[in-house]
Amino acid sequence: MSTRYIASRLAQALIVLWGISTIVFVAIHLAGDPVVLMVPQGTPRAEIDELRHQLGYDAPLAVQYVRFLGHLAHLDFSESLAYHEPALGVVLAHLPATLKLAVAAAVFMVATGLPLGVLAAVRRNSLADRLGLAVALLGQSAPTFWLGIMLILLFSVHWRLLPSIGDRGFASLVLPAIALGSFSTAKISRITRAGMLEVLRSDFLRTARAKGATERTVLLRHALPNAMLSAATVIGLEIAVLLGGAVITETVFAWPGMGRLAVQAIGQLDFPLVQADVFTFAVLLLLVNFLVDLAYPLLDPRVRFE
Amino acid sequence: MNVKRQIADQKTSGRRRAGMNRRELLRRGGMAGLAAAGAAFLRDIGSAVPAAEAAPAEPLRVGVGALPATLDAHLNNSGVSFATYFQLYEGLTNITADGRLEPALATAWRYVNDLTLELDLRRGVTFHNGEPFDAGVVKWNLERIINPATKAIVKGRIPTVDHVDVVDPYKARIVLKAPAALLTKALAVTFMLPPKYFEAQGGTPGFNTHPVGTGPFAYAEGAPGDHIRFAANAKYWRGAPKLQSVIYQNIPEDGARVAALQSGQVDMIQNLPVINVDSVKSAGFSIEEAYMSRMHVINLMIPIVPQLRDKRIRQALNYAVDKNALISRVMRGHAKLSEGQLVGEDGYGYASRVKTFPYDPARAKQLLAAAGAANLELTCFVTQGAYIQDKTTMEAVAGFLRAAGVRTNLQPIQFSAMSQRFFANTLTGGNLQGMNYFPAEDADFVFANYRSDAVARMYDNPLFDQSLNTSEQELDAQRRLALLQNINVLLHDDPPVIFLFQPPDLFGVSRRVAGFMARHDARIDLLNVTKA
Repeated sequence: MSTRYIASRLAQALIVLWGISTIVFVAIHLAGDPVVLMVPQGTPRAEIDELRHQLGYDAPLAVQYVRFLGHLAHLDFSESLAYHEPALGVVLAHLPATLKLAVAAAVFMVATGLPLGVLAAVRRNSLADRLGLAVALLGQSAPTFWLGIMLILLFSVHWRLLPSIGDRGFASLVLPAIALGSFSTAKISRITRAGMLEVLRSDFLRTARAKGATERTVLLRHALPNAMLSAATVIGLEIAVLLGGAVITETVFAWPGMGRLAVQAIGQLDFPLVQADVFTFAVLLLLVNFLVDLAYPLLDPRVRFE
Repeated sequence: MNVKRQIADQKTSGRRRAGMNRRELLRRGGMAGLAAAGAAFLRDIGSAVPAAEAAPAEPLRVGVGALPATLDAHLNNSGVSFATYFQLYEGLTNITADGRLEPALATAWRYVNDLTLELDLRRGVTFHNGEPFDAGVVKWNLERIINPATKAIVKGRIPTVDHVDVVDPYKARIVLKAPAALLTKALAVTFMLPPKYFEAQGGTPGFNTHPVGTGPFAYAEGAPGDHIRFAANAKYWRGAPKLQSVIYQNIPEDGARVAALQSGQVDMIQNLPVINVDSVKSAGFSIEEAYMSRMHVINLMIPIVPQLRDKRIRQALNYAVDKNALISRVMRGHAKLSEGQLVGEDGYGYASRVKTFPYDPARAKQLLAAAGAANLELTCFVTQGAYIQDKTTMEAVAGFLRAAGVRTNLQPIQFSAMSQRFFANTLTGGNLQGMNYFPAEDADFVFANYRSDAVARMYDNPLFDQSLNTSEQELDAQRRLALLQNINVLLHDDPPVIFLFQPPDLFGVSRRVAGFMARHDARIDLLNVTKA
């Protein structure tokens, strides 16, 4: 992998981050004036104006934008209006919870999606395949919040097996990870199935079998790695979906992550916090995409970075 | 059903065996995919799912609808923050559960003249970190709030304070720029923070990581947006709390909060939705409620909705709405009718001679016709989740208005967007809002919003403005009470709103919790609460 490749990816990333920051800046400023949401009802106009001036929201939008970009260059999103602390710090404090949830959900979706897909391909048109399709369809059609609530009702309220609120230890991770991950399980199993079916038809598998390899070796050592290429792309994309879906899952499971923080910040028009939160999500997505790209040559030696 | 029975049996026969049983259930439930983390997983389950029986030192877990973003109590004005702040902090005065003003960190007070309030301070009080409370602390706190550089949102509660003089360590004088009848009540929510500690922590962010006050509970630890754990303040001057430890678990989503209560993950929840009251009660929990010092009204925004200028039209709208039906159907009985005024009986300034507008659609039509408004059109803004049952209430009100011949145009709007338009004076239609008169329990708190020079213009009545100004300069309590009552009479005749009801503060509480009572002002008083 060349240095040039990394440099060009980095440049692209910077452009994307600038674009996202600008879109968020414009969108949130269109939403209105945060100052009036901060002060008590009945506050005199002069006091509101004074506060608006102190916070810099009375300047023309262009001036605010230039100021915003200047601070952004130093990763300074200024102080959150609600927390009265640097906005990026507030977001980073909520980052570990979101990462934990995303990783757990990703593990769940891969650990369930891949085996289901392989099984469906190997036992094509069998009962297992059809059942897999049905489960996949159900997983894709069930909205995350509905699935979350059902899981809570069954596993927390009815059976009292697993906790449904907050981030406290491994057990509390199980339900939200399933709720968040099962949407993607469906897609990954279908893609893996399709990839496997294609590979299973190819000549080199016949060669492998002719060599006397066991069916297990044929499937796991020869077929699966080749089928993984398309699955890897989807897994990368699905992790992006996971990060987005975290907004809902975190709300349903009272999970103290960045998604719920974003919802809260938007509700309060906490401009700096919204900007820092979305920016951090964008960095995460870019990072995931980059890692997926890096994984390609590992899966398929024919892929080279130019 | 078998499974459930088994669990229930195990619960009574001990925690360890319940854990074994769960393990078996999990295996059956096909959780094998997670077996890699097996040991840690099962250990976690044992500790994370609360069993029904408890050791005596187990903390009280409270599911709250919100945690304040900052624990710097001078920088947050929201009523929901009181549930947290009043555990940690105290004001100089206090408002009791029945709305009386009583001593707190100040033991007595008197006006030396119209512009000087002298306070005697409680001796021997220390902050949780041992820092002593004295007159210097009072001076530092009040002057920090009024300093523009602090950007203290609560400055509006004590707008006329000029400075504080320290007379001796236990005597302070608050010097005002203008008389302020509400000052002693506002001091109940002017929280005292420890100056030396605050500055040693380097200001708000450092203080936030481990706040310190004089309140019944001290901050033990917490995670932002997730939970706060409080530990009893053994040296609290009213006497130590009975609970050793309290955990506030932040569960903003209604359904999740109810599920947390029903699954035993928390011992009580705040903001129990009215639609869940019956199911929670039949599941064996107790319901604790108090009417809040908050009036739900439909604001009519007269200066920007010109078709409502004639007061007969606004009287008609009040006659057109069946408030009792709203209370019994929409609020399922959990609300208290407004007697045609902006405060309830619990508010200082309540006028018992003012009565509710009876439900009288015929009279409404008659008044509308007399005012030449037979073809009245009114936009009704509908929010969801901003106030208890807000969407349903507004839709029902619009239904009643339609029945009286008003052409209503329902417009869904997000609460933050509604607030924007409210303050920008472009919210051109009826809108449901809860008008708070806590913490002071004083009609003035609500009235102030209807001044003609308010930022958000809702009302435009010179006589009202004048009466309100007179009352605010009046330091004699009896005379001020009469003035406030007269204003309620005036506002009944020339209504700025459709008067509806006081909403409840509703809690679902486990039977193991004793001694808890809901309050009118969003506080959660746990001083005398016990958990079995």
